[in-house]
Amino acid sequence: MFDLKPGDRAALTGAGAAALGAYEAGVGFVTTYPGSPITETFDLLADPANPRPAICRLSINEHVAFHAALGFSLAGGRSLVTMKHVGFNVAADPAHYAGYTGIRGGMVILIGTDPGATCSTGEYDVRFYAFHTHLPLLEPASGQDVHDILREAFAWSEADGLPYVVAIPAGTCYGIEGITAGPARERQDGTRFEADPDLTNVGRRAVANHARLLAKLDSLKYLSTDRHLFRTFGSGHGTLILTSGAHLARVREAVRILKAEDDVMIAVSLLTHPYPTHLLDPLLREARRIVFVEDLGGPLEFSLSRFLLTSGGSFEIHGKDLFPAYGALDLGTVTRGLAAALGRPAPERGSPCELPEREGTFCPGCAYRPFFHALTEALGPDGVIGGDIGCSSLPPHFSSWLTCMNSGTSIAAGVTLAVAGRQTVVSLIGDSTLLHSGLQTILEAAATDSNQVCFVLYNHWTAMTGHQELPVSPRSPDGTPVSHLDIQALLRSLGVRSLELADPTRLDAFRSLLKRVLAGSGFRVVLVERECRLQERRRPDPSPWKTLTHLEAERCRECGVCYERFSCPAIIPGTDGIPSIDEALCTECGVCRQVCPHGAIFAARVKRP
Amino acid sequence: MIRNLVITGIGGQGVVSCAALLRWAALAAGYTLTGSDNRGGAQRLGHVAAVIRLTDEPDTPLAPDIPDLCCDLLISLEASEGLRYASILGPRSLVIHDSRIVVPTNQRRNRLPYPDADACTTAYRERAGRVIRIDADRSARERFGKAVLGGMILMGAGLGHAGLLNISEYILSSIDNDSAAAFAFGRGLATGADA
Repeated sequence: MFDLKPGDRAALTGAGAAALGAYEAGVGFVTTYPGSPITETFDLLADPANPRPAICRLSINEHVAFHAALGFSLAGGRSLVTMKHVGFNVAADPAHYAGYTGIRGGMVILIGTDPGATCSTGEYDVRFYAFHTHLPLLEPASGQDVHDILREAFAWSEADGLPYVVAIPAGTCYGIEGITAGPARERQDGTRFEADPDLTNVGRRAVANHARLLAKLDSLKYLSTDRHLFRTFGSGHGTLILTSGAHLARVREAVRILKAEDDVMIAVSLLTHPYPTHLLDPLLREARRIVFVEDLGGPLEFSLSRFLLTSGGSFEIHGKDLFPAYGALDLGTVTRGLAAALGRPAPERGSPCELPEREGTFCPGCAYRPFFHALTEALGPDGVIGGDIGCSSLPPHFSSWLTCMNSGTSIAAGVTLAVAGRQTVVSLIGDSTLLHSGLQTILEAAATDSNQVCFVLYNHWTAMTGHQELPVSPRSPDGTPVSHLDIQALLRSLGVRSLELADPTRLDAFRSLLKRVLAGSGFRVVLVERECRLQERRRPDPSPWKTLTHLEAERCRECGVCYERFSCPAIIPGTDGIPSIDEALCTECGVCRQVCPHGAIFAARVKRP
Repeated sequence: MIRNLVITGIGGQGVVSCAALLRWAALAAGYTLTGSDNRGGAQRLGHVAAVIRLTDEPDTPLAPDIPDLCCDLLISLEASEGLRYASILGPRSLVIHDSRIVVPTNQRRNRLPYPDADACTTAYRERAGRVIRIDADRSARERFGKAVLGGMILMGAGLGHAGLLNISEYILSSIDNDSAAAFAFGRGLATGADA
């Protein structure tokens, strides 16, 4: 990506296009807490191949990341902070001050949203934050727009004295187009912090800052034309379609499918807050029907309805009556909604096929598989498992709940008070989540002796989002040992008195430990340590030997323990219903041999070819 | 000309890599492209798909998803996964799918039924104009010793039949010898291999 010359085209994801745009803008500081679908932007900018590397920091959580980016900007540098939509909840507190105090160096907050919740625990509409953080919001209409906006938004931010929020949905983050590169700009050097009384946002100064912010916002919308943020398509006047960037291509194609190009006008503003309403005035003169095409909560319809009511016109307005406020909006839904609004026949529909869903599962060799195998066996059906974000949540049936970061131990703390020992309560927290927001929960659970077993799942990496390093990662990706935070000492420093260490791939020992720990009372922590098998296997194995695992058909009693209950993907159906081991998927973890109650699975050490 | 393509399969099979290669080749061949990946199941043996829309008319607005009945080529690296896109299949559609079924763990655990490869072929044939089923996974293992080359076999078969020969040439010029052999093998396999 970094060797592209101005005018070159490359196939990039939307997240990659953002990285290229920020690189060209000369961003000096990039920070994130990793979260799909936007992780790739940081990963690309932090790539050692970057010839003009910015300072790139994986932050401990989004709140810390936001503040660090704000600080860099207040000292005059250009900063980019990226996060997923749910991460913005964590950053919401500082985000509410950044508009009040203003910034100096350009600051961009890039948010990957997830309508359809394809890689998240929720799909809420982050755009509504714009109305109370009072931060300007940009919604690009294509991958090229993502690039171009990231390229320009740092300069706009500096000119306007405000951070800019850029929101792109997962479909755009993972969408791939040919992106045309621009020239790379020089990075500002010699930045320094200048004292400014407005940064102390309290009392009368907070009110004055608020008033200044509202006036600034009001003026921003008049810059839309010069910044090429407002576009119209079509030649019709009776129907005005207002859409957000993410759905512009769908709307244009749907209009073409419905052969309505001559009957409608499509308007899109990439600046959706504050909306340049003055640019709508000429379009409203002949419009009799307004159709809002947008996903989730519909912030355009919400924010522009008052403007339309006071515009003096008389309109038939459609929006959330035709386009659902949940799920991802696809071309078919847009086409059918527009057909209904325009009173035209909808195009013929295809024939869907009912197919059972395919849940995500643990990778072959993942230590979480034997962990849950033994834990559910020990707990029985009445046990309560507080689930948390991360790989442990992949097969969803194991957790009794799963909501936001740090939902496991903290919700369990309340559950234990209510069930008062009548049910066994355990909770999960991954290593990355522990550092993100779990420390306070552990501190409180230890201080109040919450009656639960908390399993800290320590696989050394933020595995779910692509194996980012953590302060507790004991080695770098190439396997070199690195100085790291001692996770046991950390837990003890939080007041944990009962701390056990476990490796679930040694199944019998783990079962014994579970029996002992679950029989206890008060707050007990088990540090479940085993490196993520995927990451471990990426490093070259120096051994000349490999392990071949074989399921002996004559010994198999078809009990279902390995294939159905343990469900390792490397155990596949063989002939006559007897399972076999898929050598291409097997990671030689050896756990299935311990799982089989009939001793039908064997291992042989063979020399590598 | 607009060409609507989908590559689908499960995490770990190489769907994202196959799609990246195809997109690179399409750009090199001068097409404008759009589309989107569903990577939610990548690395986790879940559903993964890539939608790729190509056109040689850069001014034609193209959504990142495909209208119903308008898919030109669907390549399914696992027999059933393409059926999640059944509604975009129609008379103009060509489906190339592997014979191999990977039963989801949720069905395994609960002893629930899951369609076999024959049922998948039938379901595709009820919708698509043409369906080709290939033992690509088995061939990749037996002939090339690498299960992951199954995707290249299916790509070779699919692109040849879809008439995207210029894209095939760009792909062949950029991949290693094993992948190129698998791609060429796929192209040969598909000939006259209608299910």
